[in-house]
Amino acid sequence: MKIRKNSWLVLAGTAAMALAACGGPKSQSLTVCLASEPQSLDPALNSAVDGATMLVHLDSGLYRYQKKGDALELTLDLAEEISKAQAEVIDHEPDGDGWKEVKYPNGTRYTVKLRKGIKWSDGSAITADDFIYSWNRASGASLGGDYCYMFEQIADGVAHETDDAAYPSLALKKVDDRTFTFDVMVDVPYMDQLLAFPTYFPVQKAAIDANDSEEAGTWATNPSTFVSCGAYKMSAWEHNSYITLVKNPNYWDAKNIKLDKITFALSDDDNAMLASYKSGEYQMIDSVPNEQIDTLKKDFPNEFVIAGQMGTYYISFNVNSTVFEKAADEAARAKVRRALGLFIDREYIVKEIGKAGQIPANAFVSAGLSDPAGGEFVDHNGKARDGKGYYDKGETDEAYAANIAEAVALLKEVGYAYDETQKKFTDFPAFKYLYNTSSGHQAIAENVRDTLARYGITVNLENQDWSQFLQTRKEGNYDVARNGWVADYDDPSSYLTMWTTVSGNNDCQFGKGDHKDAAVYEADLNNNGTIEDNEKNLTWAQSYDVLMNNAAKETDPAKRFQILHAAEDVLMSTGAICPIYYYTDIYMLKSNVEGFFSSPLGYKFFMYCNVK
Amino acid sequence: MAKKIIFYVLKRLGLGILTYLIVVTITFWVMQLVPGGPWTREKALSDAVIAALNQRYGLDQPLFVQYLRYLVNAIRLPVPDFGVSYYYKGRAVTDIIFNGFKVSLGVGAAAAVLALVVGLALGTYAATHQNKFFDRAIMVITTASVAMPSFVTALILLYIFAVNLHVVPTSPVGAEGIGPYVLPVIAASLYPTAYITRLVRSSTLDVIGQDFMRTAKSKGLKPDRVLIKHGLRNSVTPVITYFGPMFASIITGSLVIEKVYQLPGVGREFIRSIQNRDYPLIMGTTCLLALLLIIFTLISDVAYIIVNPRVDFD
Repeated sequence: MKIRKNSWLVLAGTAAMALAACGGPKSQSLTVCLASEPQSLDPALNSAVDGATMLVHLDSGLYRYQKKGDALELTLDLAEEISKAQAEVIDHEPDGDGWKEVKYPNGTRYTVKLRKGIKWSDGSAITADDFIYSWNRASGASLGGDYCYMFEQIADGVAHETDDAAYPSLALKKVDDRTFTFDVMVDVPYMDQLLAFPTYFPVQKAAIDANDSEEAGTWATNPSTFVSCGAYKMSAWEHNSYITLVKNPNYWDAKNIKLDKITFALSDDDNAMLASYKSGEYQMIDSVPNEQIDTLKKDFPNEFVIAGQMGTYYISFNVNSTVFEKAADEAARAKVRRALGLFIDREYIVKEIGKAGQIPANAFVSAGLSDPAGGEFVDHNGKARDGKGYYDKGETDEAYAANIAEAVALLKEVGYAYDETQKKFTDFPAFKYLYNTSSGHQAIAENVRDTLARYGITVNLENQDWSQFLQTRKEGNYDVARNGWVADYDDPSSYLTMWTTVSGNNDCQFGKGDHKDAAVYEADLNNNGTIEDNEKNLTWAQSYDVLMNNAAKETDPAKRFQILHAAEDVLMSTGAICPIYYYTDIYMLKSNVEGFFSSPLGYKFFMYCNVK
Repeated sequence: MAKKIIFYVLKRLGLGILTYLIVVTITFWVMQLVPGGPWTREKALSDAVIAALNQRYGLDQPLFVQYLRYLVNAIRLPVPDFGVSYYYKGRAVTDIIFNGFKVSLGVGAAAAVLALVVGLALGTYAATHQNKFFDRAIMVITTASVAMPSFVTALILLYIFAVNLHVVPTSPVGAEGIGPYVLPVIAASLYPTAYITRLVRSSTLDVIGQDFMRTAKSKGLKPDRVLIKHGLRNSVTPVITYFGPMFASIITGSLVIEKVYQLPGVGREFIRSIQNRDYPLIMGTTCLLALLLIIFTLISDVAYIIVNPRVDFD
């Protein structure tokens, strides 16, 4: 009897809860899975795309991405108004043990006026001081953030203004609680994109002072100490399991945020993600097992999505490698590298291995980046600026055959022996192709090996784990290696700056070692767009470095892009960059979810979603 | 006798500590030999940033100094302190390990208890009903469970109960509550259950035929009581030997089970820490796994000699 009484109580309780759930508008929520446990959700320390997606929901910057029709646009977020004016800008550059002033008479001063009454999730006011504190914190090398270089465009102040005397703070000035200014040496066209970039999001000093005394980023590891300023606040973080965000009522635009709750499931196991998606536990997953792509395209035509992404998959050659010993000088080596690149069957790799709608590439700067001349940068690439790139993509059999013919001719020119009956080279040296351990990279490596084997060229495959691989490539201890690059913002400089001599990402070793003295490049240094009067016999430092330096100083967008195209000409003339395809971003999204969008940087936006 | 046991335990404890120190030492130096480091990035960090990070974590000091610091932290009581993770910004290694460990421990303990209870029951039942239908059936099923790799059984369970029948979520990733832990516990217990069943069956059969059992029965004790009081105590001896290392291995990462069900356990942290060259976390997880194995082996050995006084201490 007692048991029965209790069970009635339970029933009554359940009924009451069910009624409560029915009352009022239905709460909207989504469970999505992008990747595993994020490294950090401190905007200054995050450098991952999945972390950035969480951050655009938790925090906000001066600008934000919104969807207008089919296009994405940047609209003001925490800022009410951002104005700019020409100004003499003073930057500080390292000079021995100290700093020297460098003047930029044609610099730009930005004035930011924040919205009235904007608040942190804990209710306190967001002020100009918060931005000044956050930007100085994020840009300082002492914090050790991966993306501290994202503030390079902003002029440095003087060293002693900061706690850390070793590094200068930014030249940020507070005008009043709602207004501050910052200076840029050259007004780059992608400045508003940077202002929407998570590294530029403000963080609350009080939260950091209270939690980060021992280790930076501690405040951002726990919902109870995480103070946010965006559409959501963190309500739970079960490490390696899920992060839950709920609407932040203190966000200035909370009334337009549709989704009440987002659960980010933390996993990077494609198979498990797909199982959970199919069982209905997740409404969106950001990756799927490669071998399932064909089936998924067929079974879920409305849910399997291929979106554009700004990224290039390519093969990089070490310009100082001497493995192609018959090629005595840099010019000959460039021919060999170009020839090897022409052999690659991009169409096959994209269709049969990638399978995710990747676009065969004919240049280094990826599709998807805009050009001020209209359309995309790739529409104007190639020496003729006609968008045909630096070689034919070989999408038809005839075009591919022509590529092979050119490749064979180039190698013969260098002096390698070709057996015309066998259609094979007989004395081409075997070389090593390095890739990082992953089934996708392995499949491409095997395809490259098999393709070249048809022409008598032996490729030995070697794989290393990610960390070791990165080190080997950066140190230039390789001949040929798989490579890839994803843009940080929509501007070709995000691609091309990495190949300057001093860049830390110069895996090809341009301008280093023996390559430093190779005076074989020709470049359009006068920037008049005509190839005929290109300067010739330049070294890397005299050509590429100069072009990139000029581009950084150029304020006229059209001229600047001409220079960037000219830089890509020099880069591609080395043959050391062998682009294979432009990345795409594949994901699956349930068809009852409306209002979702993603950006070409791979960020996903759920806040305006409506679950039907 | 008691003296002998204490001496034995102390000796084993000393050996355990020595083993632990050796593990700490080897891990540290092997870690240094592996190419790549915690600051290697696809988008390279500037020299200034790397210098700042090295200074903050003391990686600019000579290796031997770093080693000594690890050693001191590794033997700190009551809990070794390995500092903060280089990869997960702002999180202490002990916190990360504890977070993973509570999951591994929960699933492992539940699976071990399940295996012990079910294994003892089935094994005893099978032995007392030797060659009957249920005995045969139990033997067939346990043989299959021992033979089948856990990733197969785990996937079968996942496919049937989570993906098709939706009885439980596929994994705790993104799901709340204990529902998602049901299948992992069952999957993790299958092999030890089968193994214990077979152990108990054969040792019980062994014991049943012994003189003291017949004596007990002939004295008029009830058969059940004879079996439980006199039989079980003897037939359980091999189970105890097996139980310690089994328990340690289940909780320290039945890696396959963790992977299939996406459990936020300590096993995955171990693998990920190596991929990320997260030195403190590598040290932390390795030392924890070593400690657990040492402790559980010790406990099981001590339990073994308490249950079976015939054991020779030398």
